[in-house]
Amino acid sequence: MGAGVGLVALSTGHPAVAALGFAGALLHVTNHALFKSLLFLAAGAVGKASGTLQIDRLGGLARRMPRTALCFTVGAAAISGLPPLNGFVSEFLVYLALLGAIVSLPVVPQSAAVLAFAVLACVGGLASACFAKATGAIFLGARRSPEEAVPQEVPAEMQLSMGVLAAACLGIGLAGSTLIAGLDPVVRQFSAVSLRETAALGGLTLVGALSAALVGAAFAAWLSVRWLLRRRTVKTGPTWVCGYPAVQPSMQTTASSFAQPLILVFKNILLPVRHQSGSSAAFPAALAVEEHCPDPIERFLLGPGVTGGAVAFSVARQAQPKRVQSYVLAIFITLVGLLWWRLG
Amino acid sequence: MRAALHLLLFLVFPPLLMGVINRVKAAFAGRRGPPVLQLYFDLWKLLRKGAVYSTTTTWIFRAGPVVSLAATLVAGLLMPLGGGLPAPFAFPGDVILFAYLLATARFATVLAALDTGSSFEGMGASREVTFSALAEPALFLSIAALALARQSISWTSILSGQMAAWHLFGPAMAMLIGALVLVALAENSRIPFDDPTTHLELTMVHEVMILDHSGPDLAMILYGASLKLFLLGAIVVRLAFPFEASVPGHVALFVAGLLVYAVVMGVIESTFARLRMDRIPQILIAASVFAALAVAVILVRVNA
Repeated sequence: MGAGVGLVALSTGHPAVAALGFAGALLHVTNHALFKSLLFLAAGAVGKASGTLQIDRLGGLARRMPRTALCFTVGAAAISGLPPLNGFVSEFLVYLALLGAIVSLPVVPQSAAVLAFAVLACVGGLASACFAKATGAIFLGARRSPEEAVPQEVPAEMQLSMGVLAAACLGIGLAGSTLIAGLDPVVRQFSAVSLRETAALGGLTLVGALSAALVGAAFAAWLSVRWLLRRRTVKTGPTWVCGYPAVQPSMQTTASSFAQPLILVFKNILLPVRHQSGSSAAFPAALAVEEHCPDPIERFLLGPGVTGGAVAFSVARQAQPKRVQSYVLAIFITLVGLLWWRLG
Repeated sequence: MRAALHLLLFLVFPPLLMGVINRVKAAFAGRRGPPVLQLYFDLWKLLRKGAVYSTTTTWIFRAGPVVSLAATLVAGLLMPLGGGLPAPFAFPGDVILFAYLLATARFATVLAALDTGSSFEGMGASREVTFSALAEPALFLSIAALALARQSISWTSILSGQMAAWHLFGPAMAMLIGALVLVALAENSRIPFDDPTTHLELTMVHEVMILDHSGPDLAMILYGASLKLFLLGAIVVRLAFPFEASVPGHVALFVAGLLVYAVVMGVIESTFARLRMDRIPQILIAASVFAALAVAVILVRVNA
């Protein structure tokens, strides 16, 4: 999206907007390299510690693996583009480019930029929903399969590699303006305008400062709660579930149930498939419901394409000649055809 | 001086809004209602209490209210209060940082709710992320419309000189107020999106998520919620009262406007019923449509 708005702005003669778009795109690629690796490493750590990668069998790992949980949460917040982390810095540049396009471009790209702006906002909301779901289902709450072996925190080397990436995510979030100054020569290759001539650098410095203020304020609030509670009774007890006594870990919100309202909203796009066996009368003896959302693009575009292609190729294989002479004949006919096409 | 006044108003005034809303609701129900300053008393009481933590929870549960309040406080530094008090920090693109700080606050609250392992709180968290993902386009389309109308991308300059915007794009501004009031109702989990009256039966979204918080943690959540109500209200009030005045006049106008905003919120909450869950996305999409129409009107006028 950043590169797109960059190209459009370049073609309509707004190099300053273009510079912001390209800078956002470049920085976002860099950031993706950081937080995606972080999330994959954390997923690997979870897989190693618990022996499964099925989200709905995990849960409650934050008590056992607090450091991995911290790193995964940082990665999840970063990929959702939340301040004070690096994902926000690059998304901020893309948004700045889009706002620049909204304010100054001619009417057609202007309208497209408004649309892209709203879509990016919605995608941001969905990304943070998705990663809240992943973090919650894997690390938070109680363990869903207590019969399996108790997972242990992964070795120090694995923690270190995740920690370095998480620190880089926070570092870029706080000091994005210095990194962007380093990207400037590359951006100038694209747009012939230095980022220093746009308003972005000053804004980025303030974004960094305010992100640091966020971290500081959160830390101060944490300390003051500790201070307030220092001589008071701090009790622990089970989670309050309105007096219901027979709570099981399997009753927790799973990843699927967390996503259910969103799937309902977008059901005309996602087209969930539902299988139900048993009656849904008032007192069913046995009832099984299964619902899943196959990727609509795979289902309606790629799927039929691949199957159709396979059918066509198997038909072609039936027609394949079995003798060398017919191969030579086919090659000869092709050659004549090609010569006729080029020379005729 | 003006920055100090800004901070004072931003930090001290918001809980009063909740008191006014509750008094209006009580008046509609024929009751006298709690004192207007009730939330201040509640905060003071909660800050002096101990806390109960669930055995299921981890540090994420304790970090939730802390991060959420910090993010809302920093967001407040970007919002001008009326025409007289510019934001302490203003730069091109602060509109984006503002919206994303509120998203950070929400993310922290949602994770804290999931950390309790309660299916009830998980349900609230799930609804919160669903509705906010749908409210986000409405907010951003409104931001785009305002940026277009004022040719600027910083709250302080967008919200200054609103008179000119009303003269040029009156109908669009009216639609934007409609969209932003809907966003404010949804983001603050008020009727018709959610019923903040109880913690259990009537309540479906926000109050559900904070069921397990107690003591100072709960105080921070309640205070943060009032700050958020105040901040989204600050945008609506400035759009609805675009008049120019001296600095004290502006401050008085802004405070009066906020009180009107609280009364309107109370009236809306008293005269509507909470919507069925599957209706809420439709209303939020309607808010986006309002904002998109406002963008269209402004686009036509700007390019005419």
